[in-house]
Amino acid sequence: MNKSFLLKSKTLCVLFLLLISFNQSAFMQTKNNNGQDQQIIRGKITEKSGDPVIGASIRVKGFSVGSVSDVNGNYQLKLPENAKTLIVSYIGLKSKEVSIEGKKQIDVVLESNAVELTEVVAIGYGESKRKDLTGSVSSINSESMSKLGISDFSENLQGRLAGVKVTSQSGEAGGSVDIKIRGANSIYAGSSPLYVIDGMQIDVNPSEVATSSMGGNTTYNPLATINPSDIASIDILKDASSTAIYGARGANGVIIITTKSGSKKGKTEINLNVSYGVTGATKRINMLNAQDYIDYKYLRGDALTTYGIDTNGDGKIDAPRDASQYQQYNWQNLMLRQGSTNNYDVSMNTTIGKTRISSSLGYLFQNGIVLNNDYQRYSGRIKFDHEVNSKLTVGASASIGSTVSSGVVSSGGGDGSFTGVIQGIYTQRPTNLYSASEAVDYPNGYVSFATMVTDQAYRNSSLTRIIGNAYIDYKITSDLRFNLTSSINTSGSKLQEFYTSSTLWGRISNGAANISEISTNSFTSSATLNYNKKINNKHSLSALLGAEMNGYHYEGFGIKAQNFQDQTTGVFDISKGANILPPTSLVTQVNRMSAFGRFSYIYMDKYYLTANLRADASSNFQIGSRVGYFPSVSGAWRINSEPFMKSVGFISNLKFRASLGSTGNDRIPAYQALASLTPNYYSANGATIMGMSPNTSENKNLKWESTYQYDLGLDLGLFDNRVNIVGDVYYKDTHDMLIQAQIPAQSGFTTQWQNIGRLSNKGVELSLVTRNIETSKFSWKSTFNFDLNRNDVISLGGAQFLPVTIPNGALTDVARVIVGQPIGTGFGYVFNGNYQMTDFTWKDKTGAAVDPSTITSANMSQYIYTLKPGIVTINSIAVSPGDRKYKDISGPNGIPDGTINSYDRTVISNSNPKFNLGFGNEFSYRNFDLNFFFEGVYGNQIMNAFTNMVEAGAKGSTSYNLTQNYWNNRWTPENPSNTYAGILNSTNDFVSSYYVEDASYLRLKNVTLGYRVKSKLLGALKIQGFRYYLSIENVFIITKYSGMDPDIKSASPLFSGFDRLSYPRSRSISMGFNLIL
Amino acid sequence: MKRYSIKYLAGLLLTISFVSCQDTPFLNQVPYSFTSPQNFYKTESDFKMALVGCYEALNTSSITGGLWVPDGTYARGLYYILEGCSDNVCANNSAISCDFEKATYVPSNQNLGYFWSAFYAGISRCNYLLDNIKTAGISDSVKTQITGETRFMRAFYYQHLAQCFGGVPLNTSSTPDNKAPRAPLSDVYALIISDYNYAYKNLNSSGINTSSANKWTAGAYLGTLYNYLASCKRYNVGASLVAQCPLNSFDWVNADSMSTKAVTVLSDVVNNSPYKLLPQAQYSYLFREGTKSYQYQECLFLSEWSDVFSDAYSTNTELFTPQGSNTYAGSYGRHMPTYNLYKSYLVGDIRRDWNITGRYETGCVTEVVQNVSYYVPKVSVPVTSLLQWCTGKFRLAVPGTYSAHGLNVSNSLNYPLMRLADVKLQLAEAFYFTHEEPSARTILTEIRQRVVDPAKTTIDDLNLGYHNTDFVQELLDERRRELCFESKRRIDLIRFDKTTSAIQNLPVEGNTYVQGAITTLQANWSYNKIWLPIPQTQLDLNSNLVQNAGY
Repeated sequence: MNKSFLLKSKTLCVLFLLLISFNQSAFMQTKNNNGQDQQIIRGKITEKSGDPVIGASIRVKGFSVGSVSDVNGNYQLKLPENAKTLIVSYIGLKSKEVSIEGKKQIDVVLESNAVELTEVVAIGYGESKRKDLTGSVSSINSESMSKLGISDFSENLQGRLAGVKVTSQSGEAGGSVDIKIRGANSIYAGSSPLYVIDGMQIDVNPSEVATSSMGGNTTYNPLATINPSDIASIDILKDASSTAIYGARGANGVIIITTKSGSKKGKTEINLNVSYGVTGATKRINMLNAQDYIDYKYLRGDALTTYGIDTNGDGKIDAPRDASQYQQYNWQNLMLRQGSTNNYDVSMNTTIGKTRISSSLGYLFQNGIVLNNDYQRYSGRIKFDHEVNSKLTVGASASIGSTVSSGVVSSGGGDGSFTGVIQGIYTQRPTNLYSASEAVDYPNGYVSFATMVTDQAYRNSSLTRIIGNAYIDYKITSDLRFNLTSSINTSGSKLQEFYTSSTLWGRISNGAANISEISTNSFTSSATLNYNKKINNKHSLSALLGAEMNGYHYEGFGIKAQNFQDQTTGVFDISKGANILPPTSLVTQVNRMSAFGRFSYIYMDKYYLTANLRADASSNFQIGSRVGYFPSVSGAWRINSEPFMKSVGFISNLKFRASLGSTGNDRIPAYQALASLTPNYYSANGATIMGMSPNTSENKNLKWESTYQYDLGLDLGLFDNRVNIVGDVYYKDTHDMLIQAQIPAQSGFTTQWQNIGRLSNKGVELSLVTRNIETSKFSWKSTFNFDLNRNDVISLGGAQFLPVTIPNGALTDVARVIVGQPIGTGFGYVFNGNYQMTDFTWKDKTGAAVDPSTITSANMSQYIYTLKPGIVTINSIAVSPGDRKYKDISGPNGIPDGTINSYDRTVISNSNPKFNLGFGNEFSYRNFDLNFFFEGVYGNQIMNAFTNMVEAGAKGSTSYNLTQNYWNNRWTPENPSNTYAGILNSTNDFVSSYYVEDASYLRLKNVTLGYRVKSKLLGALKIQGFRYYLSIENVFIITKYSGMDPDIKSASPLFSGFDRLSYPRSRSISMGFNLIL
Repeated sequence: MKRYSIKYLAGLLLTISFVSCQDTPFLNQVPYSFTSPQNFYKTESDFKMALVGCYEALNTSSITGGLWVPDGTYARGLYYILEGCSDNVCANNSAISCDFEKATYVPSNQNLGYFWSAFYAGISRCNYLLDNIKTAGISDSVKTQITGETRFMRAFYYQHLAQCFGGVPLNTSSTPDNKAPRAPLSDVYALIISDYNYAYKNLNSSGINTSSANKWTAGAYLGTLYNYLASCKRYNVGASLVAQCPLNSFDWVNADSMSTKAVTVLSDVVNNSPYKLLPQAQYSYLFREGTKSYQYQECLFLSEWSDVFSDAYSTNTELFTPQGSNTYAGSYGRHMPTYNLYKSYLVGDIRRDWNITGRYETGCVTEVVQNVSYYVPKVSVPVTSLLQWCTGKFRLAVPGTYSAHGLNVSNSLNYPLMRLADVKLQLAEAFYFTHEEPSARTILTEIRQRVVDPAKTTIDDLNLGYHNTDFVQELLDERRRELCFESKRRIDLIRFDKTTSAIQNLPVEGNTYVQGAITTLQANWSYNKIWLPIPQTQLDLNSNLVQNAGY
């Protein structure tokens, strides 16, 4: 029964089938030319930076003799007679001619002439030069990241890469981040990409982080433990030809993260980064002050004796109370603070003999901008690669990262119950006056919200992740390599929290403690054979054959306690809680087995062909539905290598790419194909009795979701590659979508995982890099990227739509997935102004008609009103003047029926932008460098559910504070607004277009100014480089959106444009330096 | 050539490895943390656990997939649904639950969906059990007992759904048709009657657990159902809506036959069951947290909660307990009694001041009943007081003194679903419609006898004061006085077609909150609301469902 043991056995089953197959192809040897005695010339090809150029071509001018530099940049060449000149070339570097003049040693330094072409790009189980790519891959390297001093790598991707959409849940440090590559692929099965970190495949699973059970559902980024300074490069595989090698896990795109390796230069480099920054909220929302609030409560009339006073002694309450007699609070001033960020990291890269070593240590500390919200990260890493002999290289790496977040859960816009700190800042009453019936909120007397957060609540949530990796790379022949890589990924997370009986979160349970622990263990083992062969310098072949196993083990444990008589020790002694809730535990295991192959062929650097095939089997599905095959094929034509293009001098690179293929997605919770029973508890004469009941129903046919993807791309380099353009158009077609479908509850179940429906994404991506000016003193580089994606639900397996419900709060039934519409479609009523006085007939108590224009706020209650015939009514609700009105669109017979009922709901919002863009400029002048970067989205909408809470109404919590804007402009008989409803609006809980706002924005995300110190003193001190910088994050934003920030991550992937107010975005100004020893 | 060999090899390998390896233990992962039906439903103990699950749905807080549903069950939501739209209570809050006390419910009201989903989950649990027990190797007597209780619960859930929504889809198998349309009431009640009958015929005097239904419970529900159907037919309930929704017709009912059957079965329960009316001294024990053994003497069925700390505890903030803070185990005071209900009692009827009270406030004294302490709420102040006006029928122990919960929000108060007093009043009704009015009036007297405060009045005065020449009206008034806040009033008014008049004739009186709430209720009530709307989500998911009239 020991499954983790089983998990390790059987690995051989697939792995070593490969070895057996390893056959005659290994015995190819390169033949030497035995010519006459010739002069031998040697040398080393390096780049300006000193790095060796590997694979540079060295030819003798006028002869067909040549060589290629090795991994250290060294070459040797037998010179024919009369050889006079060497031509050294490498794509992306300027070719150089060197005269031989009888030298025996010629070292050549090549200068860069191109932008991205020489770049080596990680593709699955190997790497490729960008110039040789047939698929669509976007990359970002460490240099561009380290300049900015950003603490979370995923945030750095935002807006920078075409087709990669990054949204963050909130401004909270460590908050969860959502990355979508080329649109939402899937409805319920995860739509986040697969991460491959040094070979370890990681599916992002936010539930790896133990999160608070109170105050709301804030999720954290499980990959926040990774120190961005450790990353050498991030490569994002987008099309099927690139991702098919990851088969069943590749459908959402793949992000390959490669960490830094020891230096190749044979010297030791120590790098120290230190930065300090201050942060502050970018936005405030004007809320009512204490007096306005009391006026509002008085006008509501719910608790007249509390909020009103009898001023003239006639026994009738006739005026609101004076706020100055009570405590008054401005929660934004009290709860939002200036935050700070401290970041230190030090790394060392070196080579000792044949061993390359890279190591680092990092520490980050952030004081969040919300009171008591702090965040820390510790990280460490070591990596070595050792060349045992000319055939064998081995290496290993280990990294550990740990984050600790503390402070009351912020409920950053999740599906929380609106009781997080963030919502509290805006909804808590600005005074300590409250009525008897509101006293349930303050069972032990009034406690200020700030005190609750600082003194009465404790939360500490930690996450530690260790990623380890080891490999053996054996060169069987010069063409054939065998590689065996094993990686492990272990995470552990622990949450401890305590809320006293004086807090919003602990008052009901008389003190609440919660401890939960989550650990995961996963491994990936892969064996690959890599074959590379060049024939006649014309044909270049490579083939890859591999097998892989991986497993993911998840364990969770939690315990909660309530009813603490002594609350001083809090969560640290939960035995004091008189009520220990039943502890919970959960264990799941998902295993996968795969085999894959890739073949690629290049002819004359002109024609490219790549084919992939992967087969995957997943334990998430039952036998018969378990295996999926994922093929892809792609080709490219480098036109500028054709003779007829030689004359077109300004085109330095022109390549067409095309690919098609299929990839899969199996990312659903484990065991969903099986039926299950869960325990429940009933009672008998006061005793507890345990029962068992069906929890999920079986679906034996559950299988992969597959995505067919087609991509056409163009790479264009102009003017010696000073202008580089990469463009792609794509079409993605997802079949057999894995949907946790709501099913009719009459079945006894409310949801089931099913393969239903079809979804398409089509889009265009464009990125442009230009080196506008390049002189020795001044350089200017611009980047621009643009993408648009159109998402369309083609079918839902017979259903016309799926309802999307986001639990808690007043607006829950907010969206639908509708055939023919994109995912993220809001669904509800169309707001149509307010009911006005003239919509009613008015009578006094004697029954005499009254002219509505004579009625005022003061005397309105003396009259009786009835809605005039012909004015639209609201089904089941008797409306009053000032209530919101909606458009009568339809009725049971398809025609407007004069009343607002469920037939009148329609599409009211689209969460998807029309396009995304990002653009930046990098300048350097002498020792200065300046960077700035904009990102933006256009044309998307957000349903701002927060508005519902702070604009009064007859429903919802009537003790919430209001926005000043609403209060000043609200409907009254004297101010017949058609926008803002009256304070007793009885129709505010209708999901309607009233809450929908344009969420387009343009943000100046980052400005960085750096100065590189160049001085003789540095040389004397053996300091290789010293740069200091000033960086401003989130400089400004241009948007019409009225919420905190239009960049939100909703609780539901099916309705991304839904906001219940997120953690305020912060602007940070930081200074730092970078020292290289 | 090499290239071809590699290609072939790749193909070969993929084939070999996947044909041979897909059925490995590595990939045949069996869940660690949950039980699958294949391994369950085998032993007697399995079925007993499954049976507990069949009961649990009646007051569950969460069902399949973790859906949080207390707002749709006897955990709290059904109190609003079944007491609301009546002359007993009105809403003191803007919560969604209160829509049922204001008559502002619409198809998208999510509590409707919770009610529907939770009770269908209960039905499904019963069906799983019933499908599996047929072939199980357990003794016949146990099989019959478990089957009887399970069929009782299936009927219980269907009866609630049918009385609230009208005709509903029938699901009698563990592999049901998810898209089945609504069945007409005749079919739904045929199933319910057959299930109750089976339970009544086959069960013993006591069930598997003390909270189980037994023969008498089944008989009581069966007789009550006969009365319900008879009255719905006699009073043409929903007749004006049948044209729009023929499913909800009662035309098929033979009222007299139903009444006759009701007399038979209810007489059996009243005469032969061990249940009795608690005497006046113990009347309040029916509604206290710490007197479960007394509750069992009169209650044939309860929604039960546990004294020990576990998942099976109730939250009481929305119960019919006096309003008050944590300290006193008070409620939020969501339900306000009407002044009209208060006035329906004569002075000297102890039920008035028991059912309608003031708040728990500073200075509240405690009383000890059966070794358990309770705070005593203030006495109600009718008409004017905003605060001293609560539904106070149920009483929780002083926090921390009785159950292990110790919190005001979690308690173990068992909520009566079927008391012998109710059964007797049902028998009185059946007697009346089978032309035995004297026997019926005897029962009314019997019910009144235990609530006479001898210091203030006599049974004769009560009988005289409560007398109405319209026996049905008097019976309904008595049921209201006896069973208020026990989730009976909505259905009682509907089945005699009196809801509209009860609401529209309700005087707008009492404190200003109550007046406002009554006005709201009157403004929003319309006759079609005797049927709850089918939840919008369910209509969306199953296009074969039709909506009730007027929504």
